[in-house]
Amino acid sequence: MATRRLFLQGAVGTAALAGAPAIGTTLPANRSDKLLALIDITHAQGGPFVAAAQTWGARTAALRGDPLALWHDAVLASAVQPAAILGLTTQGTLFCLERLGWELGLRVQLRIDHLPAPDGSWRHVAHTDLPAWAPDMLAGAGADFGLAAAHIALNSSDGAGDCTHAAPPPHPHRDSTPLVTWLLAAPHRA
Amino acid sequence: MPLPPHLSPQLWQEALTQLRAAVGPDALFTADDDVTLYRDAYSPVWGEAEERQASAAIAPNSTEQVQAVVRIANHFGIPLFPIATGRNLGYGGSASNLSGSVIVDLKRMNRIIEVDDKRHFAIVEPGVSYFDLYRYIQERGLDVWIDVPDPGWGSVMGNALDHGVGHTWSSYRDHFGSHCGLEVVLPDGEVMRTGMGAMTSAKTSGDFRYGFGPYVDGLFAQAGFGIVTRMGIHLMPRPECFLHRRVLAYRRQDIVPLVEVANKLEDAGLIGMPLYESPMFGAQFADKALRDIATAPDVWNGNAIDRYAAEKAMPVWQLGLSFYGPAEVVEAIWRHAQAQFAKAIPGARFETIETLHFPLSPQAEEAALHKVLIGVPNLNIFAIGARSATNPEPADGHLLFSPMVARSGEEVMKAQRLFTEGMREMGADFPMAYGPFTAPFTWMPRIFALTAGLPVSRSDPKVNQRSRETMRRLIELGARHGYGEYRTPPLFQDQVMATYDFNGNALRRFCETLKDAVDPKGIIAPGRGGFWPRAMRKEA
Ligand SMILES: Cc1cc2nc3c(=O)[nH]c(=O)nc-3n(C[C@H](O)[C@H](O)[C@H](O)COP(=O)(O)OP(=O)(O)OC[C@H]3O[C@@H](n4cnc5c(N)ncnc54)[C@H](O)[C@@H]3O)c2cc1C
Repeated sequence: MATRRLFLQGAVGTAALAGAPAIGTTLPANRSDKLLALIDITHAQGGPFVAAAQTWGARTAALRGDPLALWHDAVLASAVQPAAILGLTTQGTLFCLERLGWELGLRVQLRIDHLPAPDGSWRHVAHTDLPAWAPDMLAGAGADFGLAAAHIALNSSDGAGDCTHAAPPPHPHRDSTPLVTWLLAAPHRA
Repeated sequence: MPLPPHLSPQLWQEALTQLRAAVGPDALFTADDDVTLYRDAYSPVWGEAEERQASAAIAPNSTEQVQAVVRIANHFGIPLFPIATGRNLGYGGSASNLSGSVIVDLKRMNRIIEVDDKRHFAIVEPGVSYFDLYRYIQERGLDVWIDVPDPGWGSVMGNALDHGVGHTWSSYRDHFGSHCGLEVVLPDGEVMRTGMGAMTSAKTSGDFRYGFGPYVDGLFAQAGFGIVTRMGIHLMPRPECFLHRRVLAYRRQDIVPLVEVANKLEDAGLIGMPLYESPMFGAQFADKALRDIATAPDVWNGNAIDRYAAEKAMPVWQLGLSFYGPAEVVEAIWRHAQAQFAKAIPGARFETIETLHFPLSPQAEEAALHKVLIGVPNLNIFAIGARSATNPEPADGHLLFSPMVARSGEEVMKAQRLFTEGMREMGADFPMAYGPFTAPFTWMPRIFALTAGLPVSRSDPKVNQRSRETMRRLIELGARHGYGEYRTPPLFQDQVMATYDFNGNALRRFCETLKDAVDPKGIIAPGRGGFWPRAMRKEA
């Protein structure tokens, strides 16, 4: 249902990140109409992620934990089938999206887990190689890493790595919610 | 990936050629990259020799294609393992009982054949998910509800065939219990229909489940006697109104009258699924004093718990009640229920949780507190899944121990103590698994599940080893006291079946006799349900 989707076009101003490369992406090369971003807007980092994705021209759709109806509306029922989907969500949501993506031949090709510590700091754990500038950008962003995460996702190349079945890193702090930045795209086959 | 057992690489290639021809090149998956998707993400033997790995997967899109696949498999002696949507997480995922099996992935068979909102049933193929059926009903404005499990992406059929459960009325939330008629491809490739579907001219296969003669449908659930390609399911008429109310009780012993009154209300058809919880379960981890009470050896007499409850004005138990029906009727039933609880439990208090009138606007549906209680499929459970009561440790998944406990407060308290002390004796340190605040789950009608979640990991084999050792011992301990498992992953199915041991395991021996007769080569899901054809039996 459209009402569940809460499209955010224009809802968040475009944000700039000092020292970052210009927003650009190889995802999918010059096909921003085929790029979809799914963002959990329950978390403060969601808004800037949305803004960055929109600046690139990606379709964006918001969710709050549960991706099921959104997947049907924004992906399966959409006139434009996305070639790549990126997002910032909880790990549980990615677990679901990964499996839903398999049905379309998509695999998780980028995964960065963001783990909050009780002192308010965040640790970032990537499962694939990141651009050289990415770790510093994430570290420098503190808790406001939404924009940095979007930049990294938008600048990662599809086929960069295979994170199928990746295990989330251990996270001992029961009362906080880890987040994850990810990219779902079709794998390159030999 | 492994080859099917006892098959040479040459014969395997020949079989693949025939399978490909039967379903088309795009519907046979042999690349490791594809087959790996059928691993069980919640496997407690992830990456170990015991993990069940498939040899290939195949996705037929019609009953005829399923028949062709079964005939080819029969010719070559290849074990098949059918899945509907294959999301049986916690109970095996899409992994088979036997490594080297070919997964028959039925997701492409996703037609909703019929929904009748006057006679209240649906007929579906295996790949129809709860969400698909829900949307179909919503888009057409049909006057029926479905009953859904927590994860709304599963298959209506797949869930039912593993005795899956939901959250509304007892007659609907037992999903196999509410199915009505099957179409099945048997191990020799023949198609059979059960119930009224067995009569070619009958138009009542979604209405009347028995037809004539023996009721064989049970053979196709938690078993490998055939591949089900179509199933009827009874649906609930859409109610006018839903009330969610709560009873609060302040003494440990109150669980006894609480259960008695709830049983009476439910078995008389006055309420939906009762939802038992203890606010002290979570509170014990925030307050050391309560945790000390919970872990003291004399906690079972309830005195310290009752004192704490009185001091903090904190209920020991809370019971959620669901009422479905016309507004004036459900309000009257709620008044009746309050009177019953007040009489049985001195000091009981009552709370209003939610009142909904249907149909809901999309906004109201989005805002509904507990969507599965009103039949709305969703995946919220995964957003909180890593931290729920049944899966308390941040983990990659869980292994569920679900012993069936008689529906009485005394039995709940007895089983709590048995499993808490049993785990302590085992040296199994899962602080949230069992204790005096473990509340029973009521998914299955007329029985409680005193379920505990044990963590599994895809990166730490030690976690898995600890969990599966604990699981094996819990199964053993439960069985010694008459608490049997209702459902379990393939790794534990032989053990669980062995615990159903009346008269020298007569039940298993009967299943084996049937298997030997119907599927002697073990073509369909050998080992499913904890029994095997003669050639694969351990003692053979
Ligand atoms: C967090 C969490 C919460 C859960 N909550 C619930 C819940 O509330 N209720 C519940 O019931 N479960 C629950 N589960 C378990 C499970 O996820 C669901 O039961 C799910 O619906 C099962 O997966 P599926 O529907 O894809 O069935 P499948 O995996 O497709 O099928 C289940 C099994 O049935 C058999 N089968 C399937 N199709 C066929 C066929 N066509 N012919 C013959 N045999 C077949 C196979 O043995 C298969 O392994 C939960 C799991 C998790 C992780």
